[in-house]
Amino acid sequence: MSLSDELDSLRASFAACETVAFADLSSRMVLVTSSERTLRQEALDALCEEAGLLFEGPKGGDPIFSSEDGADTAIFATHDGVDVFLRAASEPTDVLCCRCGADIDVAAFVTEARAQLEKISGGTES
Amino acid sequence: MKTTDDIARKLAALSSMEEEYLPGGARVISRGGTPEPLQAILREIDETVLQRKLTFKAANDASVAMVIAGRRMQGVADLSADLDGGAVSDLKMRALTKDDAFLLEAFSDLMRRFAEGAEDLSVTSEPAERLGSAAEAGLSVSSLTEIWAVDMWAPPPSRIGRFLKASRPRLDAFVQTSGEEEVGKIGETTRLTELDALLKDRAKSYGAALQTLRPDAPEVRLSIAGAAAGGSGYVALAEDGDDRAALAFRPDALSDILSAWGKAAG
Repeated sequence: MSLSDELDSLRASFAACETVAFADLSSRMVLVTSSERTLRQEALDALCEEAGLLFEGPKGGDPIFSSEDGADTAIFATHDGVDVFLRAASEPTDVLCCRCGADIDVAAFVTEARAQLEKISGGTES
Repeated sequence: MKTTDDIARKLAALSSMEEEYLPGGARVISRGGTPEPLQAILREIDETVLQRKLTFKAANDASVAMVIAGRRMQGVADLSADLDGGAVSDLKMRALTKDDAFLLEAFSDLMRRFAEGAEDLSVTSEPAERLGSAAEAGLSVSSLTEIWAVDMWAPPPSRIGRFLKASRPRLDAFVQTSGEEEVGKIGETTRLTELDALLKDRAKSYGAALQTLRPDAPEVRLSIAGAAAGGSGYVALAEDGDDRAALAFRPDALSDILSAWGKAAG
């Protein structure tokens, strides 16, 4: 299954998931996406930057949500949506950036998305 | 006697009310915990002059029916099965007086349990027979206010306050601020120091960075980061303009925290 298929499969499993993007946090660049509608590159870049802000803080600044263990999950929730960001355990620069509707089952989604991310991240290493 | 401040607060609260009815005709008096369920019930009693039975029903189908007249609560007419049992059963169709400590205790316990689960609350009103003799006037609103320890016209808690109240059983620690003022905090010192630093030192730079990144980002938002497995769990920043809270919770509380946020922010 290609990387793109993996992301499509994750999105298909959750009706409330609108966009899934696999990105490299060190370059803050989106590598592959799966989305129910075409997103402009600026929107994808912003999603990846959002992951960077939540995990590492503003560019050149200190982390906002300091964690001595290193954060592997971040969420940005508003009244109209939930953005979910996951960082791979084996390769912390590999991140999954997901934009979901407010009715997403976050716990189930995080579990499924993390399994996909670890699979993808492990695959990119080999 | 009401003071000018009491009257002003009552008028402000009344002017902000919009009436909503459920299919079947029940009128919604509290939505998402606003106003507080006991506050909403007191207001209904305070507005009932004629002899009526008011049935208060929560979204979880728990219900309490009371007989009320002359702005006084005469007694409990009926209860849903989930609230019934023990001393509470003795309340049904008995006139309540301030002198009956046993029944008052049971009544307080009943209403405390009812209010805890009453996220959304509606009321229906129908004619009723008097409970007790003419000499038993029932409990006035001011007596009920004392018994329940509720300020009938206190302003509703802020959105952040409602969120923290709903999610509090799942929180390890939190610090809440409004502007520069600390409103409340709970938790052990180490955790609170970390949350204080997030609120006082880093929240502003986070807000500025977010504004640059997403100029359209709503002011009402919840940002969470942490380690899902092991570690010290999640840290979050809840914001509604100048009202903020930093909170810490375990990973298994994530769904409950987001659910509480959805209700408070919606």
